[in-house]
Amino acid sequence: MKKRDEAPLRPKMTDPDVELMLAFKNGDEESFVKLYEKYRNRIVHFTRRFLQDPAQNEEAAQDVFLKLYKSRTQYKPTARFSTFLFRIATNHCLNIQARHDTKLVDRNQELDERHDVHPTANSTPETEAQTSELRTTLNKMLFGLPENQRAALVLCHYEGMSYKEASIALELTESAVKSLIHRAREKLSHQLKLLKQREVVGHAMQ
Amino acid sequence: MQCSEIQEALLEAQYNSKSLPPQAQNHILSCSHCQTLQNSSQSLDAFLELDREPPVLRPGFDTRFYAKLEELKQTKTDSRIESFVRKFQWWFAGAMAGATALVLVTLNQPEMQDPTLFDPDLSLAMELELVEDLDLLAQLEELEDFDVITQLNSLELDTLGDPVAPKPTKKDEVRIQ
Repeated sequence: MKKRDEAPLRPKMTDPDVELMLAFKNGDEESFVKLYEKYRNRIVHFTRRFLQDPAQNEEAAQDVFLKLYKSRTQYKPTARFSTFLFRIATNHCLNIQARHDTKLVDRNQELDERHDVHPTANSTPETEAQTSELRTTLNKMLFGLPENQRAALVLCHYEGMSYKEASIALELTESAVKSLIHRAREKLSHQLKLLKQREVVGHAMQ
Repeated sequence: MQCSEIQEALLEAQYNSKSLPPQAQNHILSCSHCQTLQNSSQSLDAFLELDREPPVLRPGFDTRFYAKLEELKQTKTDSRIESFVRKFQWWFAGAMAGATALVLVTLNQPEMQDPTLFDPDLSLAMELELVEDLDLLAQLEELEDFDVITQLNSLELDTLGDPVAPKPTKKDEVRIQ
């Protein structure tokens, strides 16, 4: 795939996280703790979409912050801090997957357990079961996507990044990111359509 | 606007913080195919929203992370010390090699060796000195001989002069005294 042109970006000094990262670069450890606390859940959420084993995705998320800690001296405020952090996270997750490091743990079971522990306040057991099933299906569908399509979709859809920011994080061109998202959504839409048809058929058979 | 442009416009509106252009909106209202496309896109978004809930971290996540961080800091400190020791070892080895070379060079300098080997004048001078010493020894020997002579009495001196002459008797000795 075509790599993104390494054009220098204007420093986003208005981003408070950039300020925190610069302070951390200058030795302020407290700033690192603030960044960690702010982004911890988002990074765990992100790694969860790449690594099926919950222990491994948490470890991967921790490793992302350790990498951030180690790379502080090389940090340059060329983009938003979140873009920089998700770039580390994306590379880390893709590297883990490339090494075939993942343990084969049934993620569906883990998700079910999670929902059993934290049911929504106004949900009935029936709706909760349905939602859980749909969520499991969605996860299967997301894991079925090629890694680069999944990464682009997760960054833009779930992390709210623009095409440009995602292109920096993925080290691709903006048009490549657009294309990846388009293909990912097309595939998911098609699968969703099939799922709905199957449900209709299932209901009709009942 | 054409149907082929609608999907891109929808994605741009969703992911690139751009609003859907009025032409696109008008087109969607008048085109059943694009309406289906928009509905499909909306239902996919709703489906994707199912997995937006925040993750539930396992207990001790932060503790484990801070322990790892401490380990990392410790490793960094250790590696800094190791690097310093390694640098010092290199520096010390270099200094030792330099010192050894300096000693060897100093020892090999001509001034540190026998000077007469390289300077013929000096060699001659030292030989002359040696000759002078020999003369001195000869003089000393002469002086010793003189002392021995002074210790001899006249009779003995006569005897020295004429070896055939009779040896002095005790009586003669007394007479001389």
